[in-house]
Amino acid sequence: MAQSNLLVRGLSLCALFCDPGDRSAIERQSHRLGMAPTFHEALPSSDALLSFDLLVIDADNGTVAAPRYAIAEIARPKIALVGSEAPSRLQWALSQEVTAHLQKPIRSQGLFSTIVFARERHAQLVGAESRAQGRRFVVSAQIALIRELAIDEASSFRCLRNLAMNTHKTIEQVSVELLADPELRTRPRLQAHLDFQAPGDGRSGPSGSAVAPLRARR
Amino acid sequence: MTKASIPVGILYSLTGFYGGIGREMRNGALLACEEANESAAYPFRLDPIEFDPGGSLEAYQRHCRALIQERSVRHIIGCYTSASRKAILPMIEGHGCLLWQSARYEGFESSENVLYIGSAPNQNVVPLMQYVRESHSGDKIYCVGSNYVWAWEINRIVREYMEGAVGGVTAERLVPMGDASFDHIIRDIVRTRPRVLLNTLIGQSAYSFYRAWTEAAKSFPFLNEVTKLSLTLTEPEIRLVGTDAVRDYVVSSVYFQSIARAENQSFLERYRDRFGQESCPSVDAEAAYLSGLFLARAIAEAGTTDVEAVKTAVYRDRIEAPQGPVWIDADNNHAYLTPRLARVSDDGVLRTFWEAPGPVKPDPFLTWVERYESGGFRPAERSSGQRQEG
Repeated sequence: MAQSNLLVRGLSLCALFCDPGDRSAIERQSHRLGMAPTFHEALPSSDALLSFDLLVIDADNGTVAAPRYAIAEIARPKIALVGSEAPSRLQWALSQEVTAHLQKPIRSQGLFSTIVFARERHAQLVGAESRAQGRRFVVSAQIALIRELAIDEASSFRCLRNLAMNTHKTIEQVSVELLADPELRTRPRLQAHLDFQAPGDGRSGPSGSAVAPLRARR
Repeated sequence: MTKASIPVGILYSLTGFYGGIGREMRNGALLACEEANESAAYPFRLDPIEFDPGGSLEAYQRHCRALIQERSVRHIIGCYTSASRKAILPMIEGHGCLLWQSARYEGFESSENVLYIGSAPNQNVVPLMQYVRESHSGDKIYCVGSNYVWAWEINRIVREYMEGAVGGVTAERLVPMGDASFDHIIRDIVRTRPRVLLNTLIGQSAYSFYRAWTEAAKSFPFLNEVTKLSLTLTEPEIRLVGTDAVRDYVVSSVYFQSIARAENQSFLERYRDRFGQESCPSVDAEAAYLSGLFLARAIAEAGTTDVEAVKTAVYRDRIEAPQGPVWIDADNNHAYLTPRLARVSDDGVLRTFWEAPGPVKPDPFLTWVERYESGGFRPAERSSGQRQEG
């Protein structure tokens, strides 16, 4: 079978503060899925938590609700086991940036789909965060291109976008690379990307006016 | 001495568009109950209480409720489609009952209140895909099936399994359950000329498709050269549609009538003695029979119908079944079964050309499928005499 993001075998799962019944159900489901979960009644260190692929937290547990047990900062897919639907508990789970939840009591199924959703959602969040952090480099790269190539703002963005498309990278990645190496920012190196006409662009070259249709992709 | 009566629910759709399959399964379950009742080895009677949901999910729920609440049934043998099983599962689990599910299914479930006697996908679709990988390298697969969860998941497994190995999947065509109009799909197949066809249609849809294909092959002889695959075609269906309609179909299953085992010969004789010499048991009948047999043996062993006690007893049991040794995996409540591939011969018999070296551990979540892949695909003649059990 080809490797798939639906295959969870081998993932390490850290379950925190689970009731005995839920623990037993998680153990059985994990075993069927090829995972060996570990269960903790005290919160491991951040480094220890980061060594796991997945965190499962009982959102009803009083211990974990204490402020010193903040686990929002642990950048891992997090699954909340939800029994009480009291808004305070849901707020706590949200504040810990859980990416999926499983209704208690845990029975014989549900863990697999919850893990699939949690991992996918986590990957989306990480990707979005990475792009948001890279946004400032896009602005800096545009300023550099405007200044060094004597082009307008719209053309500078179009150049970055074309470069990203042509090299199969994100705009943020190519912006960082351009900022890191002035040699890459010369007109001869970038001319092809300045002239490149993207599908639906309706324009070629640096002298066009605003490129409104694709600006939203920023 | 009068034996104590134990009510057992039998919940198969005997009517509706997969009624023929339901009747086979019902026969298998009844045979097991009746044999237990006639045997001195069982100090009780299994009294089947039958309902026919006719393929209606609402009827499955209504009859299941009646079995549990009005007839005090703890054990139900039944269901063919996953939708029907999912429809009654909350009731089964909520009342602490046990469902003996005999049909093969798409996997990705493992309820504590279900024993899955039919094959899991690693025992059914994976061997078939290994065959395609080895015998049709580079050929694309055209998939046509009934539009429900079993075909969806089988197609996903096929896509994933074929990715990078051979030509992949060229098309997926799904039709509503019971649909009998295939002109547009046959036209598309004639246009795209696939080398391999995977048919996951069930019931009346499958029968209509076989006939439409045969008719089209008269005008387009290349259709006779297409390798046709099925995960569901059975002996009674071959008899129903005629050999000409399904000749050369390659079928993956854990049971064929042609299996050369004394236990199978005895099963066939008893089945025909009970249901008539013209009756024609299939893999579904065998699985339903095994469900009833496991149930009777487990109650006898446990001395009670208590679900947990019965499960404990059945985990320790092992049956020399018509297909070979069968036992239940306590890890996931599915059965160890022996995968086989057969081809429909000119005389309408499903003749085995490959079988696994021994019963294969069920893997309903396809967690360990590479393990089997690395074991390799071996023709039956090269693996004869090898028995890997466990």
